[in-house]
Amino acid sequence: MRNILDFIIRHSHWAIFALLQVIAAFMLFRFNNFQGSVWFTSASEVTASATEVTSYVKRYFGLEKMNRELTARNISLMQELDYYRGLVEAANKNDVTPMLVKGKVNVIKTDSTTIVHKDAPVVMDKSFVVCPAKVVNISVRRYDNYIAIDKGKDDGVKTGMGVIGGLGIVGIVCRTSDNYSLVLPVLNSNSSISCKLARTDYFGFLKWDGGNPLVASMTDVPRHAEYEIGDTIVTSGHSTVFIEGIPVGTVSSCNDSDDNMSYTLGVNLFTDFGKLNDVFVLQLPRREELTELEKDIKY
Amino acid sequence: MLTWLDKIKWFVILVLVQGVVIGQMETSRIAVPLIYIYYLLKLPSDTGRKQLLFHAFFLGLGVDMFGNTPGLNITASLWLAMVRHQLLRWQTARDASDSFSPGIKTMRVGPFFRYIAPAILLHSFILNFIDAFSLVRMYQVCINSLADTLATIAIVWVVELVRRND
Repeated sequence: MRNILDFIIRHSHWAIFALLQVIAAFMLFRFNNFQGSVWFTSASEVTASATEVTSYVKRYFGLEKMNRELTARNISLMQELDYYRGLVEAANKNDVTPMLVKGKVNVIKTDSTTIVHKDAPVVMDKSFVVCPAKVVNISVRRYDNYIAIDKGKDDGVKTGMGVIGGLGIVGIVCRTSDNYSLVLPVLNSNSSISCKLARTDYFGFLKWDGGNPLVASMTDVPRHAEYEIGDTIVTSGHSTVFIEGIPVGTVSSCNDSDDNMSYTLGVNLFTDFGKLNDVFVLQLPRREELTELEKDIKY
Repeated sequence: MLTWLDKIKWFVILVLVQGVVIGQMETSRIAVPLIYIYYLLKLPSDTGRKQLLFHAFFLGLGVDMFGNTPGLNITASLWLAMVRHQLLRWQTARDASDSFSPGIKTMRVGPFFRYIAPAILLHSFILNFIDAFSLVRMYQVCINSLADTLATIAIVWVVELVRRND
């Protein structure tokens, strides 16, 4: 016993060395962005397989809730279908032609007058979708959260691609490996996504200041902007990441910005990151061409 | 022999020189002298390993605060502190029980060089490796480590020669 104690005391510097290295590693990965993100990606690679199994189990137990959501979505889609059918019937009766232009239903009258129905939802073009993906790791409690998905370079995923869920926007791909990718979600202090009020078309930026993962804010909304609590917010399409009209959330509150030059709207997000399982990775057509064109421009 | 006051004085001077003077030169990178580790290399030979580790931790922390690189210099300094005891033992007679501050005057030129060269190389390699944090850039890491090592040895040597003549 005494020999063991002697041994431990004699080699206690190893324990101190390990402890101090752990503290140094914590500081390194927590406060250095580059090392932190590389570590996070590598750690995701290693733990992804394990968390994938866990997520299968979680998904199985979450099927009941998911079914309820799918049913609700089905009902909503059927209502939409009825709406379009009614539109077509009304158009036929009035001798006009309904058609999809730029994601919105337009009714072209025979005299070439166009009526845009702004309430009509956006129809997602399947050519935008690179691939569906499963969430294998996600954090929502930190100030800078990340999501790891099970699709990477081998599946055509590239840095800068947009990611959406079944209910709305999720984030932007920030790092990729062969089989996995890291997504910078809306719930990250570095995230800033251009969006607008669907009803009045006023622009702003979607940001998140930590705290409640269901609530974000839309900043830089002009003071003359018209809005109402409950208005829908969608992506503006003013980027090479998301097309116009992807659902973001609804307006929940309004405050003055710090400089009193604009409004900051509270946004109830449609996407519940706490139970996010399935996502889609998107790419705008000719995105690289536009990125290349804008490369040298400094705004 | 270094008194506590001497240690504090050297600690502050070397951290300031590294953080304020050399830290500003790092943008135009050819070789970055890591002069602050001179403090660890010069601590008395009978300094306990645990004590040495804490010296290394706070030394690295001081430099990291100036460079806004928390954890980077601490990690490298801790490794240096761990190997210093063994490196010093290889270059001195094993039965030498009296305490001394490692230097050209106390160890002679050859043993002192063989003591500082691997220590500085190890430190700069770990520092550059963590800075790059990628196996892809290993060639560049090795080149930078070598350049930093040569620059550091040169400065340590000059300081030693000046102090020996004092």
